[in-house]
Amino acid sequence: MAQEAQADTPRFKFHIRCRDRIALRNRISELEISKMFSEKLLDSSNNVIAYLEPFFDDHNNIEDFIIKYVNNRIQEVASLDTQEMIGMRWLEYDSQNIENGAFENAKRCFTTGETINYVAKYIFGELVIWFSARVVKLEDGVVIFLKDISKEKQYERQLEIQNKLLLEAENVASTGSFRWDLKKGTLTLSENVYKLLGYDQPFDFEPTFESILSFVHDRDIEWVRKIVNDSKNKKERIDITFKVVTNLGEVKYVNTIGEYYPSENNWYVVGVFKDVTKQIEQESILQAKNAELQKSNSDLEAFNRIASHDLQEPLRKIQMFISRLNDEEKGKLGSRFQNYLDKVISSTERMRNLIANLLSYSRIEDVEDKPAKIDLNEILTDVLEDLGERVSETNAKIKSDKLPRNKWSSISNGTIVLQPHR
Amino acid sequence: MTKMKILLVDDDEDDREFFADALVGVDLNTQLQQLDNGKSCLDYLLQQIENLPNLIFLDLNMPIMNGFECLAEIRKNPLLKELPIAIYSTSSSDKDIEQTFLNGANIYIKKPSSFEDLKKSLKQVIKMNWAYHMDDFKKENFLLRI
Repeated sequence: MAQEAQADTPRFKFHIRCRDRIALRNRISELEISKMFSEKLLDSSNNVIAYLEPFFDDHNNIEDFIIKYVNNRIQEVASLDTQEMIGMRWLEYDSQNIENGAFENAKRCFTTGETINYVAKYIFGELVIWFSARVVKLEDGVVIFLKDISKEKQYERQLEIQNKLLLEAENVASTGSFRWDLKKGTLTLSENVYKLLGYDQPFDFEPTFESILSFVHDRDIEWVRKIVNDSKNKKERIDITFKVVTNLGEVKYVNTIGEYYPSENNWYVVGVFKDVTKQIEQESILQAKNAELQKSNSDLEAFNRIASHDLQEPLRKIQMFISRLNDEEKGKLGSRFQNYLDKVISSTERMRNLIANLLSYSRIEDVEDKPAKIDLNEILTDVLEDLGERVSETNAKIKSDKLPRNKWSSISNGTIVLQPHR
Repeated sequence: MTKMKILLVDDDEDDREFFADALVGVDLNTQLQQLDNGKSCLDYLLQQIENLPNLIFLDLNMPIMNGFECLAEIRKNPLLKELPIAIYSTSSSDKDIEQTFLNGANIYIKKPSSFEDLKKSLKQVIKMNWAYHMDDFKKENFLLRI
């Protein structure tokens, strides 16, 4: 009772008022500290954080949002002034929020209370910023958290470009790449491998070694299986060429190279498939041509043998007999017949040279062409001697300067001279 | 003076005649035996083991047994392997020449196309001191191509 009476006294009331005022001041001060603390805390975040309150039109539809708060991170990320933004209408401040879907997401979040994640792109001058955004309803507004993912996007884009380039390179080189996880038994194939096997799209399941083997030609399948299994045991490089039958029924030759590498208690094989059909076809054409060439060479060699023995041998005999005749009858023959005999001797000698040179020219085995020094003056003298009779019969006059002496490959002295020596 | 015993193995009758005539022109102190294939040569040598020729001229292209085979058989036989052998052939193929040397020939003579050249070649071969050269063949693998 005494206390109640005391409470009614003016002095006591004044005392209470003073005490309340102090508590209020303290409370305000606490709140200010707490606000500062919260702001500092929000500013220290790596994300842009903004609080928006809806702005309704006459029909109570959300026309825009008012920017009630945005932390200083926006200054660092996009060089925007937070003080300028706060209090402004969101769409008026930046209409990109309509184009990139941010407004629709904020509206939906406020209306339904649903938390929404999305990715939005903003362009500030020459700066392109990608945000990973999350919008959450909070009391009378929404909070938007924006994480700058521009670098990730840039890397993603680079990766995309590199993958495209790789694909182009694979296309140009008719190759595809693969990665084989030995523990799981599955293979990751590049798009081009599927193309190589006659598919437009990758499989919707992870292929295994057996599913790849199903494309291998029946003739090669066991051989390929054995080679690959052996290499798996020894972890040795694979490099084999085999036939495949594609999904479209085409038969192709494929070369595959794979290298083993260990990683986290597992082994992987990375490698390439290369379509070598054209090379193999060209090779077999080349082989057929080579076989033809070999046959033609052996025909030529057979001709050589015939020519060298069967043609030269009788000629040698003729020369031998003439030589004996000449030895025996020299001095006994009249000058006319001796002249005939001399001509027979020189003609047979010339014929022997012709055959020998023709043979050495057509001999495929020893094509080694040995140029020799030839004096063209000597050759001219020989030719004039051979043609002496015809020259005098026809009254031909032959003039010549001094001819050169050089290295030549010759078929026959005095008749044909080929290829000046370089 | 003991006559030098020469054996000519050649299926070509004309060549044998040229050879015989040229040999007479070169050296009268020789005794020539002629045969026409490798098989008859081997048979002859085995019969004449006590009276072997001093020098054999061997053609390559012959029926029944050719010169390559005959040469190989002679070099395989311990009683005949020391015999000096001159190949006497029309072939000028390097392959044939190398092959005969590998099989143990001592000299290679390409059949000439003049009687004079034949006499010169024979003179050169016959006048060689064979005992001396055979020693050289063994020591230095001395080979001669005429």
